[in-house]
Amino acid sequence: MTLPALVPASLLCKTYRNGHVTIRLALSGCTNRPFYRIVAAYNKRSRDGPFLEQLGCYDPLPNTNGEKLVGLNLERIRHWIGSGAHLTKPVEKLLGLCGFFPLHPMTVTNAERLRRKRALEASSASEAVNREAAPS
Amino acid sequence: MPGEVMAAFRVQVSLRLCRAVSQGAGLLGVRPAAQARLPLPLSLGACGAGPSCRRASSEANSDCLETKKPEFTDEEVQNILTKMTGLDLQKVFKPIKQQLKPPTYKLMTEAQLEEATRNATEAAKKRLKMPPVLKEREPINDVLADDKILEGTETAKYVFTDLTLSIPHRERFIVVREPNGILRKASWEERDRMIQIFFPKEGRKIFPPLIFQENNLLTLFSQHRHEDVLNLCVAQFEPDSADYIKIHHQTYEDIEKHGKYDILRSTRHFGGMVWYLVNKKKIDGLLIDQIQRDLMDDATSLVILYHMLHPYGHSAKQAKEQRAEGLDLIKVFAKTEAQKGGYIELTLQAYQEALSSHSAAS
Repeated sequence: MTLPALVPASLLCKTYRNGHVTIRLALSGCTNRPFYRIVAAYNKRSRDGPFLEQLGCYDPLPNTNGEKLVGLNLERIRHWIGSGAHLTKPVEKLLGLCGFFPLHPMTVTNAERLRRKRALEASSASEAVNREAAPS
Repeated sequence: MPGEVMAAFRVQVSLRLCRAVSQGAGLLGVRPAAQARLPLPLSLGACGAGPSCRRASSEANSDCLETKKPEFTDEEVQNILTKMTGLDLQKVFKPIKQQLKPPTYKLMTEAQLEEATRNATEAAKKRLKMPPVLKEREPINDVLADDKILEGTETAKYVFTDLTLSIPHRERFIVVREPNGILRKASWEERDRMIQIFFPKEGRKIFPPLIFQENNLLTLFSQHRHEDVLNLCVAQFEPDSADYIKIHHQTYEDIEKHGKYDILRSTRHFGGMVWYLVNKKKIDGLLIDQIQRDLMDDATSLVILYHMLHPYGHSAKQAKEQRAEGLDLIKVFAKTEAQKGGYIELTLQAYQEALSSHSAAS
């Protein structure tokens, strides 16, 4: 049973076979209004179900000042990562954006892909304008 | 590498350490120095109004040259200001708006009544503890990383707040990732807002209430509610923020213009007001008010404080030459540096005549 080293088994009512702790986003909020809690939970648990500890929150909708708020309890995140927790991709991307981790490679890749797509669109739009302008 | 940035600046030491920190006394509580946290840039003299800070700064003052300017937190200055503030129990424990309940009556002996009055005086002294007077904070312009690849991927900025419970709010990491890829430290206003969202303080709103706008302040001043304004200001803003200092200065100016000094007497804001007026050299109105209310000790200590802060003016030099005491000090000040010297001398004369007639009658 691969339990994290620093968590005593007495604290855990249910143990999983081949399970591990994961730091992930748990969705809460209402219809058309998502709100994520950054949570350390066993990976076999349901996404919004009971967790080990809440480590922060993430609000994907910008507020009146145009900011997306993210709260991270870095001390506890460090503790769980030190105890062998896994991380999901969105959490890794958030931690990369804030500077705690290096930038996630997919963030960079997606940025480059977006840039190339936009460049392609811009060049095709200008070609279309030239083609319309040329015969007239 | 951006990932090492957070680790790197934890080891850096800020160049603008407060005097108290350089003296070895703990500034923000008793934090172990071994953790080497990065203190955010604090302006010199940014100490909380606690006894440890006062001791540290008075030690620093005694070590430095005699030309050192006295600070708000010095022992002598604080003693003078507390004496001038006075202690009117009826005003300090004025009835406030609260849940209605039937009044309680207690039957007490003389001794018990004295005991109760003593306890009330102690509680009043705690309530009259002055809020800190600090210099305006420097804006934060620190860029941690610039990732140009991220430009144009996001439409809104991300604000990351460190929610670790054990660090003081001043040392909290609050960073902003802009849509153009820059990772920078949050400005003071953003910091205050985030800390209020995640660690709400009682009496503080996230967006400053509309009462602090110019026209609303003027309405309040015309209703003589300066004390309420200052209490709201202390609850809402940090002591070294621009808004706090601006509102306080505005309130003090209005009080000085209309001579309403008695509103703040026996509140915790009186010391701050006196400090501001002495620094701006506008103590004439206050002097006249004190002489008219027969508070001669306060008047003399006010002039002494003025001489402490402006030791190279005419008034201070003349006073030193003549070694003036009491009323003579005020006369010297009225003759040399006062704007309303004539008025002060007239009021002094009137006071002395009243004294002599009273002593002649009795």
